[in-house]
Amino acid sequence: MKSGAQNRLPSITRLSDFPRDEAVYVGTIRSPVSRGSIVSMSLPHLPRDYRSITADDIPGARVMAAQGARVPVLASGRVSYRGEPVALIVGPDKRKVAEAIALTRVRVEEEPADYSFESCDSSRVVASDSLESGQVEAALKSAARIIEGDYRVGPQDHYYSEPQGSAAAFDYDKLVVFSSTQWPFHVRDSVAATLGVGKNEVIVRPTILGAHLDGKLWYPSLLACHAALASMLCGRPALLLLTRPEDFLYTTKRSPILASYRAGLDESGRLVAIDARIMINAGAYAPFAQELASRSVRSATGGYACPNVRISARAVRTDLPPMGAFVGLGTGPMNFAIERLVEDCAAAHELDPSEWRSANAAARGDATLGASLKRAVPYDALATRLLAISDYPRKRSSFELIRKRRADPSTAPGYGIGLAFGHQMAASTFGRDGADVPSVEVTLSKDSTLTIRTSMSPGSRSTMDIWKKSAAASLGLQPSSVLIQEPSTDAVPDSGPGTLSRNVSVVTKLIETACAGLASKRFREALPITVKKALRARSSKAAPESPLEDASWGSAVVELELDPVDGLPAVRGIWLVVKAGRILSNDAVIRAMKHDAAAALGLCLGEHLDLSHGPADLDALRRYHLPRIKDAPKIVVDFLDDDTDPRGIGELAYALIPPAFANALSQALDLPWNTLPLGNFDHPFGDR
Amino acid sequence: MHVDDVAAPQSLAEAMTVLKRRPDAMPWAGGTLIQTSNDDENSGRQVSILDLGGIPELTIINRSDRYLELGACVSLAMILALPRNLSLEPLREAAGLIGTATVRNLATIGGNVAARDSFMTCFSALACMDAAVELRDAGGARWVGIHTLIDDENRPRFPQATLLTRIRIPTAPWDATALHRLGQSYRGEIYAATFAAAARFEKETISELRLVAVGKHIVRDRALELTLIGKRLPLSAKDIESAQTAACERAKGTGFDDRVAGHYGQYVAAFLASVQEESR
Amino acid sequence: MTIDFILNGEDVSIKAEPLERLSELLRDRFGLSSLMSDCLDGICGKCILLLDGRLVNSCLVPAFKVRGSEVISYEGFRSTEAHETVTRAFKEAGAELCGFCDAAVFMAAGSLLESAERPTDTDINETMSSVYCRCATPSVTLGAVRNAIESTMGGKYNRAR
Repeated sequence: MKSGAQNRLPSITRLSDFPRDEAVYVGTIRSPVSRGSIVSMSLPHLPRDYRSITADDIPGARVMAAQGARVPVLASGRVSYRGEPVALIVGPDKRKVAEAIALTRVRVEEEPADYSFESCDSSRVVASDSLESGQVEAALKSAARIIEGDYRVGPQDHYYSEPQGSAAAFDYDKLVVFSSTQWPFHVRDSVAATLGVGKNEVIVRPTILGAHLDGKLWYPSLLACHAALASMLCGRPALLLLTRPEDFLYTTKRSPILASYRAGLDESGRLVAIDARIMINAGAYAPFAQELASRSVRSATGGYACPNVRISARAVRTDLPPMGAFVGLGTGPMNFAIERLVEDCAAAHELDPSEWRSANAAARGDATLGASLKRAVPYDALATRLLAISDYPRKRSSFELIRKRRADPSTAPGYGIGLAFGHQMAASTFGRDGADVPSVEVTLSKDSTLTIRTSMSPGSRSTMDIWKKSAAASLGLQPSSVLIQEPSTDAVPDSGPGTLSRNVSVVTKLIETACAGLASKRFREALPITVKKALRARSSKAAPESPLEDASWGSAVVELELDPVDGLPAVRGIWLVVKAGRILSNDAVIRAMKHDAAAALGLCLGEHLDLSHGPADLDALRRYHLPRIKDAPKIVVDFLDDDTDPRGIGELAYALIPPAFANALSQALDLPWNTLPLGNFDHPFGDR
Repeated sequence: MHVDDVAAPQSLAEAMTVLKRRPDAMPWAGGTLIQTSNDDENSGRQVSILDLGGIPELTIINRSDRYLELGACVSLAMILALPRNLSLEPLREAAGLIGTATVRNLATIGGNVAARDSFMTCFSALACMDAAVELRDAGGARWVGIHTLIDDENRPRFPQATLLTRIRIPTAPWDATALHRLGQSYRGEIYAATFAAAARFEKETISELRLVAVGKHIVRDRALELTLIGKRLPLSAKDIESAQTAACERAKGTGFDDRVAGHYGQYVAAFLASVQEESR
Repeated sequence: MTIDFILNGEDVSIKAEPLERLSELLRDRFGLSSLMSDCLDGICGKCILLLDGRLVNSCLVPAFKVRGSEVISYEGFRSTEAHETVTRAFKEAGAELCGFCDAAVFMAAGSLLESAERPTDTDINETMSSVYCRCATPSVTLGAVRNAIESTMGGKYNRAR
């Protein structure tokens, strides 16, 4: 590959620290409309040292593979969402690049855009999945009671600590790409394909991720392709940094869902049938659509037993920016739906919500989701602890009395306490179709230092400590003798995407296994010794396993009160109990869960984004409020001891807090609340 | 905005000289509103800036038996730091609602009051508290009631070539005050509207009452206030309901949209109901 | 225009447009990477610094406002005892920050140590809420700040050496 100036690159931890001395800035020209054919693009006169880059300048693949989707590196011919990158302008002065972009006119023959997803024709369905067992219709017909509901979870922005971007520069004959990414090898492969070069000619050096909330699985690869193109074509280092508005308006958001349920109950309130139809807004191109659909189906019954189920999920392409993962791939929104549904089921039979859950929790042998469960879901154990620490039974009774006995039924009772139960699927269930085989390498050197190599970011100092301690313990070393290799793609194996808590569950396990391998070799072979371990994909001949197997489980209570004047909910307390295998660090788990619980309130309260009528604008950014430190209520976290392998917890709070909040709000309003974020939440004395 | 020049007077007299020479100069105190405004009114405009930051008279705080005087460049943080024994509700509440602590270190009371496009949060509180403002122009300085900064269409009216230099607030305590944001900014209002109220009681009757809502417009229905002054506490449910309806209608008539007007009526009712609880 | 001011204890002089944002000016001209250029709206707080002793959002401060002023960014704060106190308190509390907002969080905490009066819980909550970040655990951050305040016995600490 032709290279630029040969130099050693400094190491940077943040993209915004990339040295600017010789660099060119990369700005993006975007589609002004949601859908249509590009007619022309008129650029202003560009000074010397400035240039534009279009799809015609791409030497390699013009389309990037992104988990089932094909995303144009730069749109050519057609545009599929407002803000889609159409061209780049590159030059040494950031302001002049911005001015040139402002003067550029992209003319598109606009076509009617489709933003709807709740019902659509099949031509826009890009992925689907379903599960059916038993005789749902017959069971519904004979049910004593049918509960129906439509449950909606809206989009949410990841609001990264640093807006996304990328940087690229030559280091001798290799192109080094700096990217804040959960999947460094995806960045490498995408850049290599775009530039039409071998994978070994591209090195990706990940920068710090910050709180990514799973938004950096594939989008950083697109930005990396842009920076890499600029660097290659200009022969200079290139820096692309989105502004906050660009990041908010044009990058991926959580896929909104509509889950429509019909649940049949027998006389005692036991579930006899569930019929669920899930629609997912996947945006343009729809990466991860199949994962979202499949995981939504597998999460649709929560931890409950039901002999007759019919669940379908369809991911719909819309003319909005690509949507996708947000702290997981669909489990959180589905847990909102099922936990609101079960609350309605309990209310219909005038049963205590916890008792209803206990009666309907899936037991050992339950085959609601196809395969038999080897272990019962731990609802009772979790509930015993949770109800005690939160005082849920007493408070709920008190609030019910207030609700039933209030003098003026047209007013809202004002107090609510809500419960939710849910799970996070095992990390190994991602990519089980064979495409993803994460691996880890460990090397024991002559000086008794152990080096761990993985492309996955530990994500936190705590996880790094866990890896070191785990490795050290296996070999009788001090944790200080354990080093973690900088995850540059030329120095570490591909450990797959860093999502679904794989850094804790999968990588920790791989490190342990690899170190055990080292231990068996260290006194038989000369040092240094390297052992590589990979997670084997589950054999297709193996007995099917329930998606709930090896899940981590949790339960949450949220207590709130409505402001007597403006009626807005104020959360008074959150309690969480978790069962997630062996806890590797109590303090770290408690801190992480408290953090996640506070952050999860964002969906419940201020993080409102409405894309039902089209893409967001700058006003939407101004109105988007993240929770601040002072907004955090009291949060209590506890966990149940467990000797099994550690499991991920990163999604649990996000799956539990929103439905617990909505259940509390429903009691406080005496009105079912089936949509998050609050959005058009009106004063309870007014519109209902 | 493109800046022609920046004048940085070190005294009020110097500032007035600059204003006389450049009556269109843009006074700049904390500048937080200007910097965060997302309207395009000023983009591309050539402006002359009058930096008020170097004028010591504008940051003086004076207390007398009956009044508190704030220089226009007193920051919102300084207001919040004033002794708690000073009866400054609802102004304190208003100041605390604005921005974050670091923004409040920059934002000034004068900037909040003299905003041209909308009535800001502190304006509502000051209107309730019968504040007066000192205006200076080529003709000299004068004290006027804050209501003179409202035009006939209930919109902000700030005279040209004039500086707001001081704000005077009576410090006689109020028996009941309230301040709330009307609606939420995530419901589509660029500037959150604000409701402010204050009441005094005497021998179980309402002796003084202020009910204000501000946003793009200001609502203050003196007729409504007068119908409630003199009424015995607690107010009857009928009086409260009538007040709510009247307040809502008045707000609609002033230019607030139906939702905000409805909220205003609800807040008036809630305040009047709470007044009767506090009087017991 | 020419802007003369004191930056982290040193006299500096630059030419700048009057309305150039202080955050961008300091970052671009002086390489002060602690100042993140994010919301540019006074919302995220990742650009906070001390301007004449007040903690402010430097994205809201135009260049002309800095003439004759003293500016202390994180790079200057880093050499103070208050910084040591704050970072030690955060480490002891197990508070893990993401690496993007650390400077702002530490500056905010440090400014509380500088208060003339012992900060109340409201002061602590409000000041620390000036920084928007998804990474912090609120109770841990607030606990660390309280510990830092306790250990300075009311908030006296040295300015930049």
